[in-house]
Amino acid sequence: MKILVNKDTKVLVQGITGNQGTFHTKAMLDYGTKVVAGVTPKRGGQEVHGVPVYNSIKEAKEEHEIDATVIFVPAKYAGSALNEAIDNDIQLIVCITEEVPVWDAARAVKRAKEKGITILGPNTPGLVSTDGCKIGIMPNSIFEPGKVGVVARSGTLSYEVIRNIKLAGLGQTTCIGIGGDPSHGLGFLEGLEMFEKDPNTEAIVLIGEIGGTEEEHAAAYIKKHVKKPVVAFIGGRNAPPGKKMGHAGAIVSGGKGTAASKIKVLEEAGVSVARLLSEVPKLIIKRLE
Amino acid sequence: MGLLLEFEGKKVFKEVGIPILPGLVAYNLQEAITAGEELGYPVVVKGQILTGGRGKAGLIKVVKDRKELEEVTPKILKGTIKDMKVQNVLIEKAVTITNELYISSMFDTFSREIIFILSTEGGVDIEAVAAETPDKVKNVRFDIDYEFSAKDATDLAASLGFKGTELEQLSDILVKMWNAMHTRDIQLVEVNPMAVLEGEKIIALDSKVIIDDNAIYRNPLYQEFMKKRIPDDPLEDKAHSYDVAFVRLDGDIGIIGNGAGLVMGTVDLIAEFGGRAANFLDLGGGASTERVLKALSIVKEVGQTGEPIDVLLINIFGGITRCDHVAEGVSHARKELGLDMPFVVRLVGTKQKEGMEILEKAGMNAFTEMEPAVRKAVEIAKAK
Repeated sequence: MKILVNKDTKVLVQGITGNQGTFHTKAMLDYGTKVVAGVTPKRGGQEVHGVPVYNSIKEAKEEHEIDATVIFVPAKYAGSALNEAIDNDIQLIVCITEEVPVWDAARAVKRAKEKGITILGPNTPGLVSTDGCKIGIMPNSIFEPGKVGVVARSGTLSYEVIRNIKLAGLGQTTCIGIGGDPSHGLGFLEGLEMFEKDPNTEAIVLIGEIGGTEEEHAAAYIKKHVKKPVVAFIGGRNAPPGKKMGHAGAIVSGGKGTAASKIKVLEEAGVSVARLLSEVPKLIIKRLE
Repeated sequence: MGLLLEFEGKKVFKEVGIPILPGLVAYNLQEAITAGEELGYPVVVKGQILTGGRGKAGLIKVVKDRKELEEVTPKILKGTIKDMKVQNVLIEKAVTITNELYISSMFDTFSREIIFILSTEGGVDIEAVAAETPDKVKNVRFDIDYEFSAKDATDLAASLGFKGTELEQLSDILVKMWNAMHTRDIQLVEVNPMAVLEGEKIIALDSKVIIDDNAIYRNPLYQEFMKKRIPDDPLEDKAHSYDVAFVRLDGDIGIIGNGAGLVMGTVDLIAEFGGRAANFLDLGGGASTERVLKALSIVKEVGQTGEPIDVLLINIFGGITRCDHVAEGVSHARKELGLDMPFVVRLVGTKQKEGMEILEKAGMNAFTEMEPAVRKAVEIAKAK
């Protein structure tokens, strides 16, 4: 069993003719992803690295079966790109675009949930199943089939950890970026649940950072539901303050959100928290003994 | 975080129909004098600054005549709290307040709900009220898709014991807050205090509004605010115009990296190894050679306007960012920008090989691992 995607997942690229869309379509194809079609309005009929381009998802769906889509369009248009994918019932939507207005993201995520559709992101590096499906922008070279599942909020910080897991000879099952924006689709809880159920995943790595309360929710979930070993890293221990949401936020979250408070609740939930990125594989090995 | 100044928040209130006092903004003493005469004394002079604690810092003063206004205004205009500067003053008609309430609405992005918080005790720290007398604070959540009605608003206000005309005004304000959040890319509206004046008229005496920075492009009013702002650190403003995320810190190791998480991780690692980061700078995804050069020029200015930079650490993990683009920028930077401090470069990921070759041609070496690179940068900084 694989999480969310596998080597047969048929992928559409929204914004395929842009710089990022073109570049990463090539990288996804190189990884082995079945990129079957692309969409850019008014560019129907073109090809990008051999992938046919359509004017709309509807047109693409007439010619191809599509399981997942990845969005590379500019932030201004990301809301409508998300809606187009939801309207066309694509079951997995990966939104790479950064700086998407929070309200647009929240509304799309809600609509998707109501239809049973999964959104990853916005502002996610995407996901990789090491049996040959990469949807997103993670560098191909850092993956190796193995036994560790990774769920992360930050992109580049997770590359670091994923690469260290490969270099340590542990390898990964699936690596999921949930996205760095405050309002995103699939979160730590769903990621943890999938890895806990996945028979190929022996250990889980959670990469969080300051702000919000998602790590705190994850800690509570792990304590209750996760039996597999979990290793975590929290970024931003030395970040300057000033990113909190003001008084109302402080009331609701009860003053949570600092790196120290996140590390504390995770450790209380039985998670091994690494101080250095290089410690992550060592802690996994120790926990698997 | 898109915090608005009090007067900016009140401009939003005015547009959406939340009642405020008559007031005028002044950027200098002359404008303040004109405002005082137009409004009629007594007036309140309120320093506009992007942080709390204005009262304690002496940035809000009631003045009874022009003489007093001339005395306090220049002081307030020069006022600071920590690194923040007063931008201008808001001059409002002084009024008699009979009661102070608290109202806020927040967009909880995790649960995708709007949370209203109301209290009969305003003008004080609402967290303290919630801790000491929880029955005086009401906290209610509504799904963002919920159709919040006048009846919901009335029920909410009535649950705290409001009656008659106060109840009517409050429920009207709640509905307007709800609509403003939905239509104007707002994440937080906090009014503390919401003042009850003589004759039971309710007005927003203060405003704290947080907007979504990512949605400024579609809100002309916010664009106007941002144009008129005086940057607290001109360099942050410049970085913003270059489309890179930047925060000045207080060390001697300049940092450029890609991805907020990785840069945060780099700052952490420098601290872990006993060094001090001079800044946080995230190139963002897919940085071009040109953006790398611009980012390097920002770090150069960090050293010129603060503690000198002893070493420049560049930490790139290429995904959407290409190592060759970064290497190109770095190899040009020494000559073009006259950067003569040592560089420590770490490159890995997309187009790594090409990036390494470009650096080698420029006579530079790069690490592939983050920890040895950071250790090296800290060593160099410590040796200075």
